[in-house]
Parts: sequence; structure tokens; C-alpha cells
Amino acid sequence: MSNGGRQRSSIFTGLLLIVLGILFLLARFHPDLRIWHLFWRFWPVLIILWGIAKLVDHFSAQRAGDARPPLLTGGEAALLVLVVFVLAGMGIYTRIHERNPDLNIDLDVFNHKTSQSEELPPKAIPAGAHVMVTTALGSITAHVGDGNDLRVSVTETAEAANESAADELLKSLKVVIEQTRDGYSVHPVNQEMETGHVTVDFDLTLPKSVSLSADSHHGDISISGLAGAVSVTTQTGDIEVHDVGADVTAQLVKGDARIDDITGSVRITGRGNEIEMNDVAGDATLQGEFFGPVRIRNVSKTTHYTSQAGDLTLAHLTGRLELDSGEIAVSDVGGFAKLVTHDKDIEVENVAGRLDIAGTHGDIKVTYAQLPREDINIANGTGEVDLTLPAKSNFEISAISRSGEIQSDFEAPGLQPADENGTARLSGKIGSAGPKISVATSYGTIYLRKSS
Amino acid sequence: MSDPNQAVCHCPHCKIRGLMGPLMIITVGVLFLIGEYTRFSFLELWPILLIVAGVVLTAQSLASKEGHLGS
Repeated sequence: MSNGGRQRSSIFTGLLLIVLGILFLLARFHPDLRIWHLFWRFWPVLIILWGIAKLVDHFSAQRAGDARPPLLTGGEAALLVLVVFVLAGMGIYTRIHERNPDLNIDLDVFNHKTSQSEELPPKAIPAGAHVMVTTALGSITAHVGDGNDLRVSVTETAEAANESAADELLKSLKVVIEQTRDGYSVHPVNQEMETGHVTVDFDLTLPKSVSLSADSHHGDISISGLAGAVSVTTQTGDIEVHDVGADVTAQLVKGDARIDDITGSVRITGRGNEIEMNDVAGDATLQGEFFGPVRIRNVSKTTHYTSQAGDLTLAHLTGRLELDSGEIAVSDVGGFAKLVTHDKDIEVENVAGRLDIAGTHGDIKVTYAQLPREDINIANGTGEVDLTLPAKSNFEISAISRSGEIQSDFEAPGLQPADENGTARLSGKIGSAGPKISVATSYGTIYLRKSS
Repeated sequence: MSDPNQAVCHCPHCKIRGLMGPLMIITVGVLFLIGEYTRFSFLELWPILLIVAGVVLTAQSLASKEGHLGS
């Protein structure tokens, strides 16, 4: 008030909270935007916001006839300090989370637990049958045993508000093996009741020849040794599949997936964190948003990764493909490689077939240990392109950097560097006939290096 | 802190200020419900609390103090 000496509070505090809230939400749901990265680049915008807020304060104070508000009140200063602490905390949390992605805080109102185990009578099933196992809550483990029996051992843990309610839950729960039209279905009955829920963990021993579908709404799934196809679905939980003689499909929403030694093709869809895939004899397909890191090694046929962040296709990956929030690294591809991304740095080593790279903002580094045999095509929006080839390479180059420059270790009579209006060009032939290499970028240097 | 005058002030500024507590509590409840029944968890959605607090604070500081009682 004009006479009370009490100033109205500034709109800065409110605006700051709104901006931070939006930043945190974006960082969580669009990790590929690299919000914190952008934040560290554009933090001075906060100062501008502060100034604008103070301007608004000033005019509204004038209109109301109040005293002019001070530039920084005690409360705002405290809030700023808090924000710095929270941001530092976020940084530390992200670091820790990258190392231990399993960190989970569980808020559960049901705290009385009662548990029991049971073994269902073994059931002989025909060779090559399809088995389906489902639990709303609980883990599924499946491995191969001798003979033709399907053996199911179950651990049931009831959680309810009190002990007698938990006992009731266990009594009404039943685990059944049903013969269905297309195979056998193993599932609990009365798992979710109004008084609480029962965690049903399955441990299956199966004949080697069967195919298996495992579905846990909330729980880890681990499968190994089967000769038939495997299909895995989980909403929250980690997936592990080893040593399977046919195709594997996995669908996840939250969690990690690790898939090794598959004779068929592998297909992973959904959202999740860490993905690891090793030694796949068929195709490897990854479709969805995985916060990473994603590591794929040794895929005999085609590796295909589609996500918001880009689209990668690699034929016969003998080395590895690694992706994290900021970088894609590919090494040793036996066939062609095609990489389309936005906003990620790309590192490629040794591609035997044709190489196509299209990036928008990011640095691209390509290294060949052997002489390039097929065409190389690199189109970058803005950013550096660094291409290293063996000294004895033969090729035909056509490079262009708008508002940038080109530096080449290769020299040949037929090679013509040119620079006009800030656009650098390099074109010509090195040695006798070789593959075509074309490189284009803006605002970045193109390096053409000889490997030592 | 507990100024008896503050309780009877009915200026827009103080009215909105009074909304802060209840709105935050409601938001917390709604977020936990969402966390329980959708694929989003509370740990993903908590920044909405910041946004709600920010909106209330902004509305509060833009509101007129006409008829404000107390210091």
C-alpha cells in the first residue's frame, strides 16, 4: 500500500516456477530434446525474464500507487539459491540414474505381506506347443528342462491392509494351466481383488521345443534356452532373453531389455531405458523411444532402429552400434549403412558397403581403416564433418561447406579447392578410379584426413 | 506470521493467496491418483506442482490489493 510500506510480491517468482515446471516436464518426456543442455546454453534468458517481470511490477505498482518494488527481495533471493541447488541436484541425480537405472521409490499403502509357494502337478505337452504365461504383478522366469513336461512353480505374495485380509487373498487365489485353442495358458485367477493384490512369481520349466508368450504387467521376465519363438510383454520391468532358436519379440514401456544369442530375428518395440542386444542371427529391429544407452553388437542380417531421434539401418553389423542421449557410434558394418538423425553427434568406423549419413545439427566423424570401396554420402545441416581415410585411398570427392571451410590432407593435381562468397568447395579425383564421396554442411569445417 | 487482521482481509490479492494451500494439496492428490492408474508415475509428474504454484503466485501478484487490510 502507498502508506503501509508493504510492496506487492513480484510476478518473477511465479513465472520462474512455471518455467522450471515446464522445463522439468519436457526433460522427462522428451529426453531427446536435451533440455538441460539447452538450459545451460540459454540460462541468460532467465535474467531477461527477471527484467521483464520487474518492468511489469514497476508499471503495476505505478498504476496502483504503491511503492516501487525492490530489485530482488529476500524471498526471491532464497528461491534463486534453491533453484541452483535443485538444478545441481538434478545433475547429480541424472548421473546416478545413468549408472543405476533400477533406482525406484515405492510408495505402497499395503504393507502386510504373506507369502506361499506351490508346485503345480507337471503336465505333459506335445512337442512344439505354444505356452502362454500371464501375471498382472510378478516376475516370470522360464528355462528348459528334460522331457515333455510343463512344470510350474509359483510364489504367491499377498499384500493387504492387514494380515487376515492377506490370508484371505491367498486362499481365493488359484493358479491354473488351461488348454486353449492354440496351446496352453498358465495364469492366476483372482489376482486383483478389492482388498488388495497378490504378486504371482512364475518359475517355468519347459520342453525345449515349445514357443512361449510371457506377459507381466509389472515384473521382470527372464527366458532362456528355448528352440521355439518367444514373445515378451511388460509394462514395468526388465526383460532378459538368452539363447533362443527362433524369433524373439519384446514389448516394453518402462524398463531395460537384454537379449543375447538369438538364432532368429529380434524385434523390440515400445519405450524404455537401457537396451542391449548381442549376437543375433536374423534381423534386429528396434522401434520406439529408448532413453538409453542402447547397445547392439553382432547382427548377421539387417539392424534397424526407428525413433523420434532418427532412423538407422545397418546391413550385417559385425561390430557395434551404441546410442545415448547425445551420440550415435557405429563400428564395423559388413554391408551398407544409412543413418538419419537430428541433433546427435555421429561417429562411424569402417563400413564395407555404401554409407549414407544425414544429420541436422551435430558433428559427424567417419573413419575408414580399409580402403573405401563404395560411395560415401554425408549431408549435415550445421556442424563439423571429419572424414579419415587410408593414405592410399582412391576416390572422387565433391565437398561443400556453406559459410565454413574445408581442410584436406590429400593433395592431387586434379583436386580443386575453391572459395567463393564464404562457401568452400573441394572437388576432383584422388588416384585412379574410386568410389564417389560427397560431403555437404553449413557453418562447419570439413576435414579430410589421412590415417597414419 | 499469524496476524489476526490477515484472516479478515478480502482483497483479491489475499483471496488468491488463500487458494495456494488447498490447490497444492488437491494437485498432490490428483497426481498420486494419476500415478496409480495411468502409465505416468508421480515421480514423472511432480513438476506440475511447480507450474500450479507458479500460476497461483503470478495471479496473486497481478491481483489488485484494493481494500487490503493489515500491513
